[in-house]
This record gives sequence, C-alpha cells and structure tokens, in this order.
Amino acid sequence: MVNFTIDQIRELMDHVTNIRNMSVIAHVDHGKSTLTDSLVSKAGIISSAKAGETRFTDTRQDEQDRCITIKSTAISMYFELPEESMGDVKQKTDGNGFLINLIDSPGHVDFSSEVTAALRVTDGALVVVDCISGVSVQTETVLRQALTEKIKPVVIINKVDRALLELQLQKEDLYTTFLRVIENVNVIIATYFDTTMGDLQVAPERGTVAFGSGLHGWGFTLTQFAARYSKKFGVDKDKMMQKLWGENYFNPKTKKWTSKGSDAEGKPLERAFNMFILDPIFKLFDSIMNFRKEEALNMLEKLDVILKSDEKEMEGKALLKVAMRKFLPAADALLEMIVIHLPSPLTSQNYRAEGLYEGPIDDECGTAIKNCDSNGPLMLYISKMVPTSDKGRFYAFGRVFSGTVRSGQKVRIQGPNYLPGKKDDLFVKSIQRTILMMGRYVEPIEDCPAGNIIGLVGVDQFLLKSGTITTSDVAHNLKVMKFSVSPVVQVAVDVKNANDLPKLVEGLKRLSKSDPCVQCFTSESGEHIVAGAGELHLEICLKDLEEDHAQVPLKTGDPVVAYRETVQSESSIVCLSKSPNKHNRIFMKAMPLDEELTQEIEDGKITPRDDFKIRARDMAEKYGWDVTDARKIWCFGPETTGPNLLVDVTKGVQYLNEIKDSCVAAFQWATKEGPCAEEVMRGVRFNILDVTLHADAIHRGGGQIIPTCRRVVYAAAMTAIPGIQEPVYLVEIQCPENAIGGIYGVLNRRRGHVFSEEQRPGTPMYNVKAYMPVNESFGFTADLRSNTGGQAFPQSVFDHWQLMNGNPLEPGKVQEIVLGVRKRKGLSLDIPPLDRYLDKFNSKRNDKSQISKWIADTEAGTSCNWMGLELVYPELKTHINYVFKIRNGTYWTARRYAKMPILQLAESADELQKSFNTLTEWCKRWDMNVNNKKCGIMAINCSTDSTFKIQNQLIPPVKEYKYLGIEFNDEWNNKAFFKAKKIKTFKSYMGCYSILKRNDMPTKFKVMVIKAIIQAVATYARTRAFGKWASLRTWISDLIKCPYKHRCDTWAGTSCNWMGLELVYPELKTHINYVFKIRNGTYWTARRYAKSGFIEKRFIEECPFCRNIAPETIEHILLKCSRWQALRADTLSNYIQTYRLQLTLTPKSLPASISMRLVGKLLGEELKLSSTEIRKDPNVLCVKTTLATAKFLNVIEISRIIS
Amino acid sequence: MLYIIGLGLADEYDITLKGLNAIKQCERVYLEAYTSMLLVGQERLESLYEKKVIIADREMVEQQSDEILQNADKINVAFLVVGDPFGATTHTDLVLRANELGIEVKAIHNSSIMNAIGATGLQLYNFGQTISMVFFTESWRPDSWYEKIKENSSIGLHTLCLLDIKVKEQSIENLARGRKIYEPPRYMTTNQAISQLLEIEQSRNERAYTPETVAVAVARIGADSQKIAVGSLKQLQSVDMGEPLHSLVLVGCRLHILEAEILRSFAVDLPELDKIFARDFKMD
Repeated sequence: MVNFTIDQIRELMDHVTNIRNMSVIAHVDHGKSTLTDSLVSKAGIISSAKAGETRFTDTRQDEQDRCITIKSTAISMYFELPEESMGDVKQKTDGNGFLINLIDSPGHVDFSSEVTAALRVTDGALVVVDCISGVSVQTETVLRQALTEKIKPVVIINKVDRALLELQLQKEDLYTTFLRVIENVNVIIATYFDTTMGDLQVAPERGTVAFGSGLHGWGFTLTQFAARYSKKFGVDKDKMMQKLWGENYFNPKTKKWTSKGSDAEGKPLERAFNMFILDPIFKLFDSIMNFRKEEALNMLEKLDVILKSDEKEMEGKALLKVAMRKFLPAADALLEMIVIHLPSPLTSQNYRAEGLYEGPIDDECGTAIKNCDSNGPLMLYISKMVPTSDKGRFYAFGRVFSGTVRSGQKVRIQGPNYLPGKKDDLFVKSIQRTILMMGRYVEPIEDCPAGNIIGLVGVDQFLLKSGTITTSDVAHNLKVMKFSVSPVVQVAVDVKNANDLPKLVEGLKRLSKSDPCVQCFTSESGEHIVAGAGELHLEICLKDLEEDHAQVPLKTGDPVVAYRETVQSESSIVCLSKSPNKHNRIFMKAMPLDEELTQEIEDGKITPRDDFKIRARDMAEKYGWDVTDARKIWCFGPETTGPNLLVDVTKGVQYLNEIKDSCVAAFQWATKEGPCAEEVMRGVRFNILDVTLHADAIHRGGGQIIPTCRRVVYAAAMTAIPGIQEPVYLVEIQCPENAIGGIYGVLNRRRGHVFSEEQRPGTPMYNVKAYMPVNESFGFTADLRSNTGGQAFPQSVFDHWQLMNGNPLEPGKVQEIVLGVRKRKGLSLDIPPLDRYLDKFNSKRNDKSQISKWIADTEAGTSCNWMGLELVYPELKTHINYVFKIRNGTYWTARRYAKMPILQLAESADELQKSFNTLTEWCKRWDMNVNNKKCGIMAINCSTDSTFKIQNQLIPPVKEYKYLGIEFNDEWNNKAFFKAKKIKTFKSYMGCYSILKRNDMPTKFKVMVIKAIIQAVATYARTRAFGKWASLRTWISDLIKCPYKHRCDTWAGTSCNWMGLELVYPELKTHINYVFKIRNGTYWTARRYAKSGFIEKRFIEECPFCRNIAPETIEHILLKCSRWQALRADTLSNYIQTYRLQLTLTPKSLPASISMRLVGKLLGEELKLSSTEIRKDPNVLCVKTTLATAKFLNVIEISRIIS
Repeated sequence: MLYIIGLGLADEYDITLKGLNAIKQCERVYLEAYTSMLLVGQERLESLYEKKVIIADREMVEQQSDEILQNADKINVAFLVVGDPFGATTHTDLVLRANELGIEVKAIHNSSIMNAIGATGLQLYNFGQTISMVFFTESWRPDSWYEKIKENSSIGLHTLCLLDIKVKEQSIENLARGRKIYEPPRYMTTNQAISQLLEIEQSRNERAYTPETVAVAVARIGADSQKIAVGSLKQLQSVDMGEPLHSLVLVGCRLHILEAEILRSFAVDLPELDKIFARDFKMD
C-alpha cells in the first residue's frame, strides 16, 4: 500500500526547505537500482519482502531482462524524520515531513548521458560504491559529472554482505576496505572541488557515509549506532560519532577511550568501530549462517528486534535477511542521511544559480533562481523526454528552478539555440497538463512550485531533446547540458519493406527525442544514420526504434565510427582562393592546434562566449599564442563551438569586417565537412593572412565570399599534411589473474595497448586499463568473454582522439579508411585534388607586390620580426637584411626539398660518393633512413664502373629518371616528352635540353645547366610563385645569361651566396657563418621534424642562438639571448676598433649611419634618442634596446657614459 | 573574335545597328543574365537576331568561362550584356582571360543606367561616385557606401544608387556546402533601398543625408513604362514604383536651376517639394 497520497505530496511541494532532490549514481552493477528498491519499499510502493528483487525503477522489460538500468527513472517519496534527529539538519526546515524526489540512473558508461540529465534536475547525489570492486572508472566519471554540476555527494558502501559471506573478511580487513573506498572517493572530490559549495569531503564520523547491503535491505550510518550507544555511555551523540571511526579504541578493562592501538600493557585493543558496530553484525551473521538459531534469536532480542512467528521459522540466508532488515533498516538510515546531509533546493540553488543561468545573475530570472522563488517568473529546465504509453508522445521531464508551473499555463518554450531578443527556436504554447513522475506510474497534479521535479504534457513537439521553459520575455536560457560521452559509433538503418520508410523517418524523430545522447541524421547519400555512445547504447536504441518508435522491421548496417580530420603541420604554401568573379581573394594557412588547447575547447573551458581579452591572455600564457592573434579569433567551428579556430592575422585590410560573417558561415560548414572525407575537422587553426576585396559591397557579398572562404579553408588544410584522427576507448577490465593472458590476446588483436595492470588490494581481482580504437571494439565484449571463460568484464568509455599514422593523400591504410568513408557517404571515390580549391598566383595580374608582402609577413613575421630589428639597430641594417633574405630562401628550400626528390649532381664518381657520405651523415644525425629503392644513378654523357653507397645500401644505376616532373634518360633523346607537354614551362626546357644533348659540351656545363636552370624552373615555374619576371622566357634567358645572380633570387639554389656576404663584411664573418649554419637547412628541417615528433622537441622550443629554452622573439634576441648579445658586442667593438684606426688613418669605408654615431660617441657626445616621449618610458621595447646598446658601448669601454 | 555587345536598357530593339550586325556574324551568342536584366524574354531576342541565345548565368561566366571562349580565336562569339559592356566590373575578368588566350576582343557600347539617368533631368556632370546597395541580411549590413555618399554630398554632387538584384543566388547553407540549389529571384525596390539608407543614417548619424533629402526614384528607365518620382526620402519611401528594375538618386546641394525645374515636373507632392527647395536650396 502506498503510505502517502498525492495531496500530501502536493502540500509538501510548497515547503521548499523540506524537499530533497537526489540522484543515485554509481558504476554499473554496484547495486543502485536494488538499493533504490529498499528506499521505495519504505514509501510502501512495493512490499518490503520483495525489496531487493523487484528493481522497481527498472521499468522497461529489457531492463528487467538484462538486469541493467538503461533509462533514469524518477520517484517521489515521503519521509518523516524522527524529532530527535531534527537537530542534525543544519539548514532551514519546516516541520519534520520531507519530500524526497529520487532519480535512479544507469551505471553503464554508454548511458551516462542519462546520468547527466538526472544530475541537472537534482541537488544531491547518493554515490553507491561496491565494497568489493571499490571505486571504479564509472564511479569517478559520474562523481566528476556531479561535482561539475555542483551536486553534493553522500556515499553508501554497498554489498557488505558479500564481503562477509563470500570473502569472509575479518573485521579489521573490512574496516581498511571501507577506509580505502572513502579515501578514493575523497581524492576524486578534492580534484573537482568547487569552493562555492563548502566542504564536500565525505566522512563516516560526520554521517555522510553509509554502509549496507541493498540486496538484503539493511544499512546503517554511524548516526544510528551513536544514538544507541550515547544513551548507554551517557555521552553526547556527536562526540560518540567521532569515537566510532578512525583511530579510537575502547579499553573494556579500564573503561577508558584511547587513541592508541594498544593498552598500557601493550596488548592490542580493538578498534571502536570494530567493537561496537561490526562485532554485533559479525556475530549475527556467524550465528545465523552456522545455524545456531537459539543464539541468534537471543541476540536479536537483546537488540530489540522483534520477529514475527512465521519469520522465526526461517533459516539461513532468509532469516539473516529478515533479521538484518529489522535490526538495521536500510531505508531509515539512508533517508535520514539524505535528509540531513543533502541540500534543499533553496540551499543548493543559491550556489548553483550562477552555473545554471546563461544570462546575468542579477536580472529578474537570475535572482528568482538564486532564491528558489515560487512567486518569481517561471524557469523550468527540461532535461529529457520520457515516452508515454501513448506511442509517439513524450512527457517532458524537468525541474522547476523558479516560479510555479500550472496546467494550461501559457509559456515560452526556448530551445538550445534560442537567443534573447530573437525568435529562433522559440514557441509560445500552453502546457496541457503537469504530472508527477512515479516510477512506473504518473499522477496528474494541478501545479508545481519551484524546487520540484515535474513532467509536462504537450510541450514535447516543440523541443528536440532539452530546453528552457519560462514565462519571462527577457529570460535567457538555462545552460545546456554538457555530456561526458559523445556519439562516436554510427550505424546506418534502413527498412526491410520500402513502404515503411515514412514510419522509419517518424521513428527516428521519436528516438532522437527519447534519448539525450543519440543522434539521428540523414547522410548526404540518403542513408539514415543513428549515432550512439557505444555498442550497447546503439543496440538498445535500435531495438527501441524497431519495436517502439518505428514498429517496422529494420535492417542495420555494420557499425562504423566517426573520424575527425585534422592537419599535421603548417601549410606548405600560402593558399589563395579567388572568388567566382575573381575580384576577391583570400589568403590562408592552416596549422595544427595544441592537443591540450583542443581538449580545453572541447571540454568547454575555452569557449567563444568568454571575454576575448581574458581568453587571449590565457591562451598566450598557456599555449604561447601571440596575444594580438588570440584576440582576433573570428570564430570557433563547427557549430560555433568546435575545436577549430579561424584567426584574423591580417594587417589593415579595408572592409574586412564586412566579410567576417560570410567567412564565419563558410568556416562552420567547411569544418563540419572536412576536405578528405567530409568528416568533422578537429584541432586546426586557420590564419587569414590577407584579403583583397572589391571596392563595392555588391561584388563582395556572401555569394562571392562564402564559396571562396570554404575553398581556401580546404586548400589550407590539404597543404598542411592532412591527417585522420580516430576515437579511442579507455577500457577497464576486471578479471582474476588467470584470465589476464586472454585479455592481452584479445587486445593485441584489436590494436589495443595496456597501460596499467593492478591488483585490487584485498581481492584476487586484477584491474587492467588499456586504450583501444573504437573501430576495433565491435564485438569486443563477447570476444573477451569467450577468451577468458566469461571471467573478464570490460567497461569502455570514449577517452580521446588519436592521430592515425599516415597521410590520406598518399596511398596507405589511412587513405583506404578515407575512401571507405567516402564510399559509405556516397561521395566520389577519390579525394578532390588540391587544385579544385587552390588558385594560382598570376604574375600578370599585379600580384607581384602581394607576393613580396606575403613572404615578408608570413615567413619573416611568424617567428621573429627581422624587419623590426633593423629599426632598432640601424647600424646593423644592411646585414640584417641579408640574413632575412637568406633565411627566407633557405627556409623555403628546405621545405621544398623535403617533399621533392633530392638531386645530387657531381662531376666525378669520387665527388658523388662524397656527397652521398654527407647525406648519410645527415641522416644519421637525425636518425632517418634513406629508401634506396627510390635512388638511382644516371650518367650524363659519360660512363662509370664505380659502385655507390648511401647508408651502406647500394644504389643501382638507372637508365631513366623522373625528376621534378621531367623525364631524363641517359641517351638524352626523349625530346618527344617535351613536345608532348603542352605547358609552356616544359617547352622552355627544350633549349636547355639541346645543350645537354651536345657531345662537345663538357659535363661541367651540363651540370650547371641542370642546377641553374632546370632545377630552378621545374621547382618554381609551375606555381609561378615568384613574380619577379614578367614572362618565363625572360626568366630563363636571365638564368642562362647570369645564373649565379638570378639563381639566388629564385631561391632554388641549394645555398645562397653567403661567401659573397663574408667578403663584403669581413668583420661579421664569424656570426654570419653562425647564423647561416643554423638557418641553412639543418635548423629548419630539424624544426619540421621536431614538430612531427621525429626528433627531440627541444629543437622547436629553444632559441637557435643561445640554445636556451625560449621563443625566438625579437625581445628575447635583443634583450636576453646571450649568444646574440655576445655577437653584437663583438661586432660593435670591431666597428669601433676599425673606426679608431680610421680616425688615425683617415680612409672612410664604414656605413654612414654608424660612422656618424660613433664619431659622436668617440668625441664624447651624448647618444641621441630620436624621440623624447619614448625616452620617458623605460618599458618601451625601443628604449630597452637602446639602453642595452648603451650598455654594450659601455662594456667595450667607450669613454663617456651615456645618460 | 569575342564581341562584347551592349544591349541597352529595355527591350530587344535597343541594340545598336553595329551590335546587331556583329551578332549576325557570330556562331555562338551568350546572354549574360545576372548583373542586370532586360525587360523582355529570351525568345524575342532570338527572333530578332535569328540566332539561338544561350543564357549565361553567374556560374557560367565566372566559373566556366573557358566554354564561352572556346574556339573564339577562330570563330566569332558574342557575349551580350544588358546596358553597356563595361558598366559592371565583372566582365573585365572575361576580357583578361580572352587576352591570355590570345583572343581578340571587341566591345560594342550602348547606353547604360550610368548615362540614361540623365532622363531625370539631373546633369551627368554633377554626379559623384556611384554606389550600390545590397540586400541587408540579419547579420550582414555593409555600410561602406555611406562614406561615398558623404563625400559626394560634401561637395554637392548627386549620388546614383544602383540597387541589388539577386537572380540566381544560393542560400548561405547551399553556398557553404557547394550545392547548386538556387533561391527565387529578388529585386530591390526603391522603398527598401530608402529604408536601408535611413537605417544606416540613423545609426551613424553623420548627416550625409536626412529623411528630408531630395531624391529621385526611377524605374524601368528606357522602357515605355518608365517612371520617375521626385520627393524627399521620407515621401518616396511610400511611393510604389512598380515592376523592377529600380534605381535611386540622392540629389546634391549643387543643384542647377534647370535641374530643379525638371525635377519639379516629376514631383510626387509639388508644394512640399517647393518648400524643400526653398528651404534647402534657397530657390523660390
């Protein structure tokens, strides 16, 4: 019989201080639903005899069959706290009758979205922990979720009966088991602690930990025992509680309490917890299970437990259950704990309001939520949809945070995309009915005030999954729930009978409503896709879809996983796309985002809604972003919150903000469907480097900009070595030792790797943790069971995305996956080529100025602004410019060579072997292998018998070789190749080629021709990246006429003319060589490899000059870098030495600027600073460096000190 | 040879004799149909030219220009443009591409709204920079033209506002996903242009113009149903100009007495206009 009526409950609803909303959360199979049963039995809904067997809250047939909770279920209960305990309640109350709204949640990870939905509407959580398996992975997950939602936890250690009956633990062992569980829980709590909620640590002596057995229906907290013993000992109850836990002992001889484990004679004492609490329980267990019934009945009598006559007839376990339940009824202990220690809505909303409400906390809704005001504007959050008995309709299940909801009330229904003041995702409708959700039953109710959990009828068709319901026009949304799992496993569904299709579509809509996490959508190829958190989740969803929502026979495809597209390096070139009308151009580069930053974005720690200044500062501090860049993040994508960033790094572009919206829109779509497989992109930063726009708005509208921006995003991604990330599960497996071998076998087959293997203290069970790709997880559970004789139980939870090794643009496994995805999506079966997205620079059309601007901005500007350097150090201007030029040259060269074949040209066999030796050295240094299958030796108009080796591998001679797209053969007779090629570039080779063919020409010249012309033209002519020459013809003729000079300009030479520089500046020789060494090839190549993880990361973190860990910024180099400072000091002293000589000898060959200044200095004048204003502020970089210059001059003994 | 031929403003008979002769020599005839539009259908053009006319939409001109230029170095191809060939900047690109392929290009001019606006009586010499007004969307409200109007009005010049037409546009989503699904055609009316003008003036409040500024609304210039209305922006906001295409002129303060005389004949409310003339231009 139900021991309370709906009217009673309704009345209680008004006493908001006496409401407790709580969820039961735990790892799977730790006994939540069973424990809930014993609470429900107290409310009289099920008979107490059945408690522990019925699983009342498992309302669905499949839940009962599988013995697993799938959906969270709510139930309301009434509890009267005994008068004497009322003093323990530390918050405001109103009478001793309490309304407890309990939500039983699923424990399996696949359904943890249900837990999230349950937590949102409750204020406290009962965390159930199995005392044998202890704190498990899902315990931690749900506890973390609870703490982030600002939910206060209390703990029950469950299945104590198993510890006694199966493991036969001794008292002290049991105590340590308890202690360990509590410690583990507290560690998690401390990790996710939030100061606004006060102290959350759980402790038995405070009454926030209970012990018991859900199956047997008994349980206790120290409070019960303290109450018993406080009368006996005449001690205050609170003091007694302290004594009953921890290092407290009672000496029965002296009748004294002590905190030492032994008495005065050194005999061990029994711990008070063991003596006063565990001892009676152990004795009872012992006597009943060993069938000493008399003894047991006597004991029960002493304990004031009265058994009925038929109960006295029972034996063994049945008797034990009855006796224990009467001795220590679980429901009383738990409900008491809940009422005393969990917060009322009034208490909790005070600290939760800020985290719940999106709008300003001091507006009318914010204040009402904070005060849990039933008379304020209605604020109600719908956290999930519960199917009704009427197929296709749903109860909207949620929590009233403020105001009162009534049947027939007209309300605003705001979906997750609603923005205040706009009309998107907003409906104004009436609520048909309000109902109370009671496990398997629902009860209609007239209205419901703030602080309660409620079901609504008639709003389901206006909300997709969740939303805010309010009566205030100015209300912002309540914050959308953040799920800890994401739908990574997908399956395609189709109907068996084509006529049923409409039913399927309708069914999918319903399915999507009924589950907070599942995603249903239609793919480009028209397939219906259902995506879920895991295999089990998907299985349940499909079953629901087939049996309940669609009710038609379905066929399902193989489950597939979603991938993510990313990039592995910075774009190799600046990508350009032109708008359809060719008047607008966008220049862009892509680069990978830090993995940690990506995760912070995904976890919602860095969001587009943050204040951009604070966000920029954080990003600069944590991830080394440039603050100016970080401030100019245009948007996140996809869905405006995803982990890809569009950053504006342009300088002074007119009308730029007019195209911002178009770019943002394009970016959202582009990142949602990446270039390779149209999968979502992840962890990519796109820099808009420059934009050229038409002067008139009509020619730069969305129609022009959106496709352009989308194309350039794709082009940037494709030139930045695209990559594919696959989802990876964290698998936790519990098993006995003998099954471990089987686990390793299964995991190895499935590309998993174990990273932790621990024995659970006090048990023979092992805990194995491993990472395994989700892709390999299908059928894993079954496979594991069959390989371990059913002894291993896995729990898989999505953990992270992992980059797959390989490039989708090159043949290999990754490309197969990409093509597989494309095939499934019904896309064309090859990845779109880059030139579909990338436009060419066109030298004819005035791009010349742009290009040089580009190079300066990107290559020089990214790491160190060399241009700025010359302003600060005018005396070094000339050679800084040289360094700059060369740096660009080598940087580009190194990058190109990494992609293209290396051509070694030599005039003799010895020389060739020598260059191979150098290459071998280089490879050895960076630990790389040369693929000798790709190597070949070809004689140019000569023959050789020598053998050549690289890395001790033989290089075979070849007859033909293809280099930079040109075919060579040793006969020099493939003129047809050039003729066949229509491209002008190739035609222009003809001239060079005829030189190669001539027998009277010395080999030396032929080598020169290849080096100076073919190599240069082949590398750059096709992209025409260099705009110095108006046409190819003049370029080539220039190259032929004056190869040395122009080769340097084309950047195709392997080394630029450093020798010349040395001759011009003999005094700078040492450090020019140093800079050159670092800059030339090795450093940049090393940097690239360091990025990809090939070699130590140090190479990108340290300053190339001083080798300290420091960014290569101008400030560092000017003010901190010891090496550079030393070089500069050298230089300056050289100058001065020279000048001193000159003063005596008179020739004037120094640059004018430095001469002037030095003359002045030597004659004792003050160093003139150009601007007095700058001079005032010593924080300005320019002043700092000038002062630094002054310091140098002092160091090298200039006679006068400069002020 | 590629002929770029202006068709004039209204119907098929606006073409020049030279243009018509050129068409007759051409093997392929394309009609560009998105920067502006003729007020008559394709069939009437075809019957006059006795040639098949291929409609070239934005996509074709911008993205498949090779098709238009194919063989044009050997045969003659006509590219028909409503108004004057170089009225809209978009076609310079086609010329450049033709040059690149070594194709000779010849333009045959015709009248355009840029000169036909003289029909309002305002002297072409007194016009400043031309602006174009695009359809505002929720988030995209470009107002860079405001500066231009301000510059014009500061030295007393008239401003010609060309109004946006969207003949074959994709929605944002379709654009972003590269789908070729088009929205129904839209033409901006003077009423909408004026409300956009006033909205920006209200937000920037730099008095480049006011609701009291005299303006000329024109519709279907060059056609028989040509309509011209003169009044303050506020008055014109409620004047229905009928079928597309519309344009708008903001009258500058350097108004010649003769210009004013003609404007009066188009006034929607003559006494009111006289009052404004008297107040703003010191004319009696």
